[in-house]
Amino acid sequence: MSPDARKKLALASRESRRAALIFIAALAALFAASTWFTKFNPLHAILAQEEFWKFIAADFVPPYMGKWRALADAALQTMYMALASAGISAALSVLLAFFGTPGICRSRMVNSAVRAFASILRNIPALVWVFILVAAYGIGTEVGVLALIIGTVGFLTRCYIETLDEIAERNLEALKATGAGILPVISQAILPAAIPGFISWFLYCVELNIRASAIIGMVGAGGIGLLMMGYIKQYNYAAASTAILAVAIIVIAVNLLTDCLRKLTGA
Amino acid sequence: MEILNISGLTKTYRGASEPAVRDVGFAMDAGEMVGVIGSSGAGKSTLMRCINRLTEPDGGRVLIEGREITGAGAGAVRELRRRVGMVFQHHNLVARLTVLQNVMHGRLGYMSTAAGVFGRYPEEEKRRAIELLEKTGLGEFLYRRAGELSGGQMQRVGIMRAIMQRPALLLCDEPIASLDPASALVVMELIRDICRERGIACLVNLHQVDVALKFAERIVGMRGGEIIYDGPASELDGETIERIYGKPLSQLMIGGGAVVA
Ligand SMILES: Nc1ncnc2c1ncn2[C@@H]1O[C@H](COP(=O)(O)OP(=O)(O)OP(=O)(O)O)[C@@H](O)[C@H]1O
Ligand SMILES: [Mg+2]
Repeated sequence: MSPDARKKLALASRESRRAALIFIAALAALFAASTWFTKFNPLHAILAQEEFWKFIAADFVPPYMGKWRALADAALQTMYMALASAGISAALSVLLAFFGTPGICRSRMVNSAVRAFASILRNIPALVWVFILVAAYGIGTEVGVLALIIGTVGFLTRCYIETLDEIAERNLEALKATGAGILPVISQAILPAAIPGFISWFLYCVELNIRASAIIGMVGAGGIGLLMMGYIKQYNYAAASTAILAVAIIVIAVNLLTDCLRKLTGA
Repeated sequence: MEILNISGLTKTYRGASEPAVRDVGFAMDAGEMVGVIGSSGAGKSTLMRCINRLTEPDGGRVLIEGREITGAGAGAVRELRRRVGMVFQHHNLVARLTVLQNVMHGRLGYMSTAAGVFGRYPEEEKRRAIELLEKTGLGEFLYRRAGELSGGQMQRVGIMRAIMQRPALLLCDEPIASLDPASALVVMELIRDICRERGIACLVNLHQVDVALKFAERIVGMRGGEIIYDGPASELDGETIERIYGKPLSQLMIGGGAVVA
């Protein structure tokens, strides 16, 4: 046996192990510093729970069911907002994505313009859009739908470009080689291949938008969020807690539904 | 009849110091089967893709049935491409669509944009596709998703898609590179028989010298982007193979039966 035989063998180089160590240390330091700066005290968070539960028990329970009619209307509004915005966004995004995919639209300029446009839309939160749009259009679901569309188009366009890109790489060339024009190739080969991906991302956005529409509703975009905010402002916590429950139920129901649809479409 | 005529064809990829294809020229007659051999990076795929301008050549001329495709406008290129079928190593079928739908894609180039967009294929072409598939032993798979077939079956579907174009020239870029030996034989025989039967000129890139010698009557040997051998398969000797691959025969895996003298 050679003297080295008992030494443990490393599977990665020394440099990369050291880099990983430094990275983890830096992360830990950053975490500690940010916690300190936000004055977040874990101990206090745990000890103050009593207040929290008292508040819940005294004010939120039992949920007040008397206004179920208004609640149902608001819940439906929220669902409509989510569905409408996801649907309209999907249609717009499909169109945009074709122009953003290099294999399909040959102009690099157009590709980058679409990508830049999408990422600007995506990186400004829906809440900000609502504040801007409420100033212009006033309070209401219209603003909610508009704000959701803006964010969703940004997100979906990006996802759809990736879906198309992957397909185009394999199929586009083979079909172009037959002498077919780009439009028939898109409708007969690219679209059918892309549809499962399109649907899957669309359903994901429906889920996101349900949650988002409840939140942006609170700042004036209508639906159940607006209702809930109204109750909270009136210190009517029992009614607010019904609204919160309703949001939870909707989110869970929609999740179950989209899972089911995903299985059905094979997406 | 001359189907393909290439002269002075050159292609340098952007950023590359050496051309991938350099001053290549040869011609092919109807019904002729030519095997292109050469080591990896010799320029076989580039040559093939310059013929139908999937890759844009820098210089030289390519004539298909006497009409020049190099320098032609987009419409003319599409029209010429209809006469040039292409078979890919990874068959490039749309996995989610049925076998029949994939085969019908071969007709898209002949249809008006509207008919193509809505997939209104002529009935007699559909019947022809089914006939072709049945003759190839794929009759029971007409409505199967292409992605569910075996590699060999998919490649046969890919060939049928190209044949639906009624091509004068068939370009096959390593059609058997990802197939097992038995499927490879079936696919090569299918290509040979169908081209013979229809008088289609066939240019096929191959990595296996023994397969090239078995199926092609003429061999084109490439090295560093240039053609260094163009002649009958029967006259390809060991020394020439060594020149094409830049290695002694003892370091080459030519194939099971030592075909080469
Ligand atoms: N799209 C591309 N962009 C840049 N360089 C390329 C591209 N395609 C091929 N090349 C280069 O051109 C040269 C010839 O490549 P080509 O693919 O034609 O060779 P080949 O003979 O088909 O090789 P193989 O047997 O591995 O398929 C290689 O040096 C390759 O790196
Ligand atoms: Mg190649």
